[in-house]
Amino acid sequence: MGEQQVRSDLDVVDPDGRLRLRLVGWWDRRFDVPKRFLRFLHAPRDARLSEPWPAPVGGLADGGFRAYRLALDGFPPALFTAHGGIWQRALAHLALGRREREIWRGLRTPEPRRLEWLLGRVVAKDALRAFLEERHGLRLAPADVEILPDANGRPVPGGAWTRDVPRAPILSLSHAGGVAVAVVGEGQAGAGVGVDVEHAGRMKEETKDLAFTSAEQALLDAVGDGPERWPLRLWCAKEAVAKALGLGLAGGPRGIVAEQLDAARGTVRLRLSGEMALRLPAVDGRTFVAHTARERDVVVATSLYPGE
Amino acid sequence: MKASRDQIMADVLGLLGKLADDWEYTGEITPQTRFFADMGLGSLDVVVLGTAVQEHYQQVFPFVELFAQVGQRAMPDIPVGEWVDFIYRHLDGPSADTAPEGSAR
Repeated sequence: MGEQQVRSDLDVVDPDGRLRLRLVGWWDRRFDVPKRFLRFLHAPRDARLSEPWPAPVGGLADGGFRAYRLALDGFPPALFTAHGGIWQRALAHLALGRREREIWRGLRTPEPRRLEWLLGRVVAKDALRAFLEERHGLRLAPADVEILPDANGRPVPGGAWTRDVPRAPILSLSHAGGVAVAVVGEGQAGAGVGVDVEHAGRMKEETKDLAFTSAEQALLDAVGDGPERWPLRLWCAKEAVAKALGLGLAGGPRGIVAEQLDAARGTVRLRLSGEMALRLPAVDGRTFVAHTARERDVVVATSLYPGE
Repeated sequence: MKASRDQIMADVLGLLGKLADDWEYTGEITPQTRFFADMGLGSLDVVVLGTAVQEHYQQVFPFVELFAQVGQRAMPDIPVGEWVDFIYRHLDGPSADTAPEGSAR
């Protein structure tokens, strides 16, 4: 039936040649599963699906922060959706702890987003496991590192391993258009890190009026609207700061305002405004820095809030 | 005459469908269905949707105010019904259920 499927009629006979069992229409299906994925399925404690990604972290690397990236285009097309989603389920059952599987099962978002959520978990666990191995010599399977949302929806790492380390690392993750990114590092008490990733082309001209103040649009006009994708980088910068503070930008893009763009370094300086400033009076007036980067058609930003 | 809430709901769902190729929410969409938790939209999606709504109705809406209100909640999210209601309240033109002044009936 071609290279992928074999249809057989099988006769099982005893040593005397008598027919004992006949199977008619038995199907074998061949899956082309990438080696990396296969290794991960067989030895999750030792293997990682994601790859380190230096671009987003910029200055945060000095503080020991690392970013990891996992993209759908690294897998054969439709691997996770074909055949009743068997490989997605295999990945979920392997990588997720019990409570995480409950969340995954309960997700009612469209299938592609559900898969992206799963990839986000996988890359976050890879990043955490790499950190814990490097810093504390712990070798953990993905399911040992549980990531559960706190009251504000921020992903928090947990598990039995937290008893073996002086302080749990801080984490942020983001996914868009089949790319998932996680950033992990050591943070003081009360610190937070944020990452946001987007695909180029998401920020249309008209969107800028809703997303940015006129002062911000002036900053953008000064750097120009070329392949460096500054409007989208500015958006991601705001989102990264919001996530570092433990909130999202759901309350609106005007809550965090850019004061300065450094196109050469890719950094943005921002401060809180309006509702966000009221909500977090302790950090109102502070300047936040976001590191932004663009790699092909993906834009990403990270930010660290070091704590009080 | 301006659009009814039902019409606006239909318009919004149409715009959402155009925005993201992979957007097909499998559940039934009610006014309680939430953009983030249920539909899996991101905050940029909602801003882009706001722009699409403005283009569709050829009118500027004060979405920034809605976003600010939403931001005050513990777990910020926007039910579709709230979004539709906001559009309805700010949409220009006499509505179907308020008769113009001076009408006999």
